[in-house]
Amino acid sequence: MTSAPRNVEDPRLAEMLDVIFKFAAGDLTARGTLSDDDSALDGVMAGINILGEELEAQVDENKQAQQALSESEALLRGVFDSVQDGIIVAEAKTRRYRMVNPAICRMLGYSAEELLNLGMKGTHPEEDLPNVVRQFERLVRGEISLAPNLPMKRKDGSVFYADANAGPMMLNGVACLVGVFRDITERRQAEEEILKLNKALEEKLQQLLEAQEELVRKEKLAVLGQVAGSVGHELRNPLGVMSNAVYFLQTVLSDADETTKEYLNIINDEIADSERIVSDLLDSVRTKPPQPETVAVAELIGQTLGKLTIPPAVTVRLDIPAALSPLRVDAMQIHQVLRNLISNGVEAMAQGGVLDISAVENKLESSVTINVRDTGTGIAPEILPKLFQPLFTTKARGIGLGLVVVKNLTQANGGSVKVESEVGKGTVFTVTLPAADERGV
Amino acid sequence: MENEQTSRVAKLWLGEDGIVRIIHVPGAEVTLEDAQATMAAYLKINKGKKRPLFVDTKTMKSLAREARKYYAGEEAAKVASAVAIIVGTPVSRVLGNFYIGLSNPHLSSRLFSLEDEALEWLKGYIE
Repeated sequence: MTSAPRNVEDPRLAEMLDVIFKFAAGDLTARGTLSDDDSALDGVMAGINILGEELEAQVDENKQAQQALSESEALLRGVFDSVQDGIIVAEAKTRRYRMVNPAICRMLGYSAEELLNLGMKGTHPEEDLPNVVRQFERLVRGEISLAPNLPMKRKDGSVFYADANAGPMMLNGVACLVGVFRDITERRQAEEEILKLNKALEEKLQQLLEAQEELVRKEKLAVLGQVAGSVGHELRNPLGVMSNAVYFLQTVLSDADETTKEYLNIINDEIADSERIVSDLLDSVRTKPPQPETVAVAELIGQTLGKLTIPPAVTVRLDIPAALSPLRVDAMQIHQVLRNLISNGVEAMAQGGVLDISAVENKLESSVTINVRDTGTGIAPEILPKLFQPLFTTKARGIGLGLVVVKNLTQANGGSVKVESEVGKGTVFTVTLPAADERGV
Repeated sequence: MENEQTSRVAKLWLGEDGIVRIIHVPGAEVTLEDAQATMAAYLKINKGKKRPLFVDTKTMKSLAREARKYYAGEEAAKVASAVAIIVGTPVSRVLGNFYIGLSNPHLSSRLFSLEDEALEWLKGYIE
């Protein structure tokens, strides 16, 4: 304990020194008494007393500030240590870790000491490090405050993803970035699950729409089937009578003028078209069991072409090998298949083009494949799957039964049909049918 | 008298010149409560105007830190226009200098040894 020296003779001076020594010893409550003698010493003592008051007040204020700072530090430390999100304080320039909280240690499986030594390189997958560094630098520059979906590597090598919110701070005069890491594994799983569910829902919806479409189509077909049978049958007889009548007129009016002959031919062609529509209508709803016979491909194609009118702008090229095995099919039915395909090909080339009809044999499968290729407008990819559906047509005058008949009759004869097309380049229909064996059966 | 008031440590009155005089009692040891009481007494005689204050501290023995801060604060500056502090004794000089030097008063404040000079200076603050 410091005390005033005792060899001062003036008791007021001694008191003054005593107060000052008490201040020096930390007792700021010491005060001197005034003698009310209007002396200068009284003034000095008053000044010393005021100084004591000021020092005492400042020490109190400092204590309060220190207390507030301690409480604030304790609060921040409590938050830092107990928060569930991981916190890393890294130097902005070197990216060295300066502080890590227990949560990030738990998330990564390292001790705080290990993490501080590891730094950024050890806590992210190596292949992702360039991107992580880029994100870090953007956070430092303040361009972003959130780095989402950061891959984090645990001590055991496993990877999880975290969103990192970050902001700048100064730590002992060094610019740092404080990052708060939130594990978003569960959120990502939930998002992926939602995406899966959405996809499944979309698929189900699509299936539902297709089923609805199919249902509507089947309903139409059911009605069509009922109507087709009676109407087709009812129309066939008058068409036959009309055909006979035209034949009779053409015979008896052999010397008629050219206009009359032309109109009779028009009537004849239209009757033939009508008969074909009626045939398609009937064949689309009930395919008669085929009556297989052995028939040469070239002969079948030749007969079909002979019955069709090919416009002058369309060139027909045939490539039918002479050594081709004959087919074992219902000639009438396959004739109708070919007639529909060739007609379609010709109609697709309104501005003219080339119709290639070729055939190849597959000895191993005992089959013959006939290709009908046109250089017409082609068919859009989204339309191709609907091509063999009943009542689907892209033609202004079509009823959407021609290719249904093609498919039905081909399959009834043990064959198959497929189509390939490219818009602007053309379409090829490929019909594969059973070949007759050496015995012709 | 409605132009005169007293507190535990001082006597106050409003002069015909519009200046309020505050004369401290001998040996006055002014605490915060005394300062607040003196200010309340001033408000009874200032007739709602900001007036210059003539404060004689020659007989004052001490002025507590809180009282000094109160006089130097915004509250006094709102109701008074200036204060001339009359000092004479070494103690009053120390108290006055600490008031002006440490408390950084909001109110225009100045120390005077001569009363006439103080009154002349205060006239410049009569509204």
